[in-house]
Amino acid sequence: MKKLVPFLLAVSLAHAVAADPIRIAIGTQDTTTNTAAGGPVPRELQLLEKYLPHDGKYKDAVYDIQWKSFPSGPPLNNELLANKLDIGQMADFPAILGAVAFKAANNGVHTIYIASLSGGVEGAGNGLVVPIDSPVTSIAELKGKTVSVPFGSTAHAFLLRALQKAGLDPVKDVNLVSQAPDVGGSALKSGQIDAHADFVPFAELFPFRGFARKILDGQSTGLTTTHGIQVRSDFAEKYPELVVAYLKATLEADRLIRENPEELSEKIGKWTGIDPEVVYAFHGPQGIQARDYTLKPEFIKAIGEAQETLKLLKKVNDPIDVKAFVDDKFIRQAAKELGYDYDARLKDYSPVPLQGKDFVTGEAVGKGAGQIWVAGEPKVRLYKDVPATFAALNRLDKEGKKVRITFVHDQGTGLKLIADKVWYVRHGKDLAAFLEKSAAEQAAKDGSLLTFAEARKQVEDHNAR
Amino acid sequence: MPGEIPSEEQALESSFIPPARASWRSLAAARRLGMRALALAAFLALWQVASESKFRLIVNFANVPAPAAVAKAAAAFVQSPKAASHILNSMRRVLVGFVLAAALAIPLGIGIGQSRLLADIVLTPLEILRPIPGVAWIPLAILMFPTSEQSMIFICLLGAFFPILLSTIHGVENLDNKLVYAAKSMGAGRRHIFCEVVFPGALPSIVTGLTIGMGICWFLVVTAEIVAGQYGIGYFTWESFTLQNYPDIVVGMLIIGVLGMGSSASVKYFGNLLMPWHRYLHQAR
Amino acid sequence: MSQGAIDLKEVSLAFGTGRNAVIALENLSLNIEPGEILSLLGPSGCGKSSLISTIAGFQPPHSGTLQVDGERVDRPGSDRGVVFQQPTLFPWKTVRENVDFGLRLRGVPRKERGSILDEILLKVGLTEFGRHYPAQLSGGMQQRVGLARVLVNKPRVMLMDEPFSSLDAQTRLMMQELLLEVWSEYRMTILFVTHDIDEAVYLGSRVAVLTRRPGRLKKVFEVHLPRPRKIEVLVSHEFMRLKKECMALVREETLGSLGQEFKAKRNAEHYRQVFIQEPATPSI
Repeated sequence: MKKLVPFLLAVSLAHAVAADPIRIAIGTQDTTTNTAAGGPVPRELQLLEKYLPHDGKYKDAVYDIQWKSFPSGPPLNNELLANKLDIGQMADFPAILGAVAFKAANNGVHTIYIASLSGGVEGAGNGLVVPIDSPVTSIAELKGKTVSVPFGSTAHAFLLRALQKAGLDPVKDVNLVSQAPDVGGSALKSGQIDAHADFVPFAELFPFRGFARKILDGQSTGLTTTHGIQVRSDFAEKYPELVVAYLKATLEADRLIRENPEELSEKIGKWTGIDPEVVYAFHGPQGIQARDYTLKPEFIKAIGEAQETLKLLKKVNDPIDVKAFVDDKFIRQAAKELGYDYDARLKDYSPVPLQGKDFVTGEAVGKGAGQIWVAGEPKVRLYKDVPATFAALNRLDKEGKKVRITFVHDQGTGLKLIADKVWYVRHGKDLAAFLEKSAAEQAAKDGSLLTFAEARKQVEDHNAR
Repeated sequence: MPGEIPSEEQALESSFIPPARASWRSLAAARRLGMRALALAAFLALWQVASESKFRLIVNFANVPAPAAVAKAAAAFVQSPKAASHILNSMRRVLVGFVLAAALAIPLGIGIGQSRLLADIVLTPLEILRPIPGVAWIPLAILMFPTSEQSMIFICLLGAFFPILLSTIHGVENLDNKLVYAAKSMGAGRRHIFCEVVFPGALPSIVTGLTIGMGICWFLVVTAEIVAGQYGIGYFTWESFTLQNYPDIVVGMLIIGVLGMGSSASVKYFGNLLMPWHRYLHQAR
Repeated sequence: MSQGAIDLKEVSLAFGTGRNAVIALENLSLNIEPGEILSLLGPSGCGKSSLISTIAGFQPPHSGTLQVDGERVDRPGSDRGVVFQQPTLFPWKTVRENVDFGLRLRGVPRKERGSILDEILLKVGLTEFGRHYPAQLSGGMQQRVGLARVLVNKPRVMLMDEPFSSLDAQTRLMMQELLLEVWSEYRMTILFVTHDIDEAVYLGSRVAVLTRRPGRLKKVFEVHLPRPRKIEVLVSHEFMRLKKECMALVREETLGSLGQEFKAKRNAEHYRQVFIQEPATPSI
């Protein structure tokens, strides 16, 4: 008799679990490219279905998987709060705002930050762009001008820090205006604003689409930026196994991208509408921002600092406990089940390494190699340095082959750059690339400062001899 | 009795209200005001209860901020130094957009009402543009105008333009033709017919259109201020959404509602000042 | 000085085009003497209003000639005032402003206008209502304003299209008396369209009866009743005789227009026997 009641309870519980479909509603940000491993990839390749449990408690479970994409964090937060979503992904700033909103709602539910998707420990990924025909080449020249940025986002923090570093007062010296990326893009085209700061991938996308030029990357501010995964506490308490299953799907997505960046970039481009070339800039080897699933201390610190900044801006009045907000038990479990060493990865700050063979000479090339993605070819061509890359470009031109995009790496920071949009300094036969004109000018003291077109021409002339 | 043409005696009486009836009328008015205040108080009380108890039946009140929280946020807003800036900037954009819309729509409407050719040429493209929602106009508005203020005013203008245009056309088309004939048979030429018959005749419709147009201007102020968020009550509301600050969102919504209602009422009031004969029309009915 | 002579020769007027064309008047010839009141009777739809419309200049005739005092008429003018069946006052103007309209159009200076208005409002008995809006007035009062509005222009011709038909019987009588008063002072030509045979005979110097559509002149006859016409004339023997003749004529056309020619012809004789050859007893 003593055993009957718990038995009946267990049966009814199992039955209850089996009876109604279990909803797993995941909110993604398709256009925020660095979250691709959490959204479009597992969704379109149906990786989640692969890992969902069908044993034990979930023996007869029927799953109702819902995916919804949003252009940014705020609407995603809204749906999390309204219990239309169970899992979400967003950057540090909206994650704090969401957590604070949950605290204010006081419904006994809160969000948990359970994993990272991507991050720039030094701030890479956010960027500042100006209209394509603007004479402005540095942030200091924006004094007295109008700059827009999505307020309350990780890009906002980047811009404030960058202005501060340039000695500009964000209130007195610039006219700051809030514009979401889509609005900012139009405003850049029509010249209504002098500059626009944004998060991934817009500081690459707008230049790639030809109406803007990037003048500053978040890396120069040293302000860590990260995007991660959040889950509602009630869902996590009830279905921790499903949370782990989802994280396993994202881990596999990460692996697939790492092993086949060109192919996945094409697919992600098709699924999200962000040009594959720009996707590759982030997800290819030595990408602009590193994909990372571990909750590195810098990332957790960034979340804390986001809250501090928001408090300063008076956007947050009742702060949350960041340490309690972040919980790594789910991602550790997922990594363990797939045989990954979480602790090792936690300590590893290196990006996906760029390594291969020079397309022409066959010698081994590594960090800082140039890359050309030729139309119709499945893989990116590697070249050992900038002159070699330009020589190849000139050759491809003569052969009439179309080039989709060319990458070089910043001499000082190692950041991946879109080759035709940056500065070059020549010393004899060597060519070095720089994003910031000021850095280029510094290096050109004993060399010559060149634009992309000039540099290419000089390489051509040199090789013609 | 309503409905009949007043007799001579009734016509004489209507311009004279005996004192006894005046006080009875003000008592009735006070009762109505009391009813409305009571209804408002009941609404607020219900809302407070629903939010606090996290009421849920199809509509979920669990996350809806209670009137108390909204009141607190409203107090904070009113005391903040930016409040005036927000409200004045929005009012300016709405007013400029509204006035420009009226300046374009009224002459155009009168022309269309009187000329079939003009109607055929102009109305068809306008009818295609009319259903396009404000949000869809944002990118084009930004691309078409050199400054973001102009883009914002343009969106407000679009909102007010169509009701004013259509009401004006309606007013001109529905004018009793006999009035024009009467004027002609008294020797009126085109200019007089326009100024003294067509325009005053269409005026009641035009004023209705203006009242509706003003409301729609406010309706679009959030959309318009997405173009460049800095100052504006629409921007404030939208930014509160970005920051997940729900009481502030409701504060913004309420302020827009109040300002919209006030502006519409003002337009109606001033419109009625232009039409002193209108109140007698209602009496006769 | 004879003013307001209207001459219609073979006037035709049609509405619409092609197969849907409605011929309102067909080859209508009529001479209206200057200074007379010509009452116009006829069945519904016979073109009475169209005749008003064409003389007013709203719709020039398609064929035939229409002349007023020897000049062709093809557009509206203040010399031919129109009083419509509905008062058609400008609702947004006060009584004074409505009547003032014509004066202003003719460029009469302000000082003069004031006294002219006072005079005309006195004549139609609306002195205290100068600043009222039409919506505040009764139907009869509004029609008086309509009359004043036209009179103020001192027209040669007044075209009145069933102006009193929407008024109650008492008011109608008052308005007829007012009209006769005004006419005896100004002596303009009046073309008075009506359905009411009593009214037509009471007011008219002559009575014209139109045929059913398309309207042509059926008969015109003189009204030999003494002027000024007093109310007692309404029950006189001569009045009755004229009324019976009008009724017979109008009824014949009415029945015809309802498609009952046969009945009309058969009854025409009957009517003549009953009405025309009856002994002279006053009917009540």
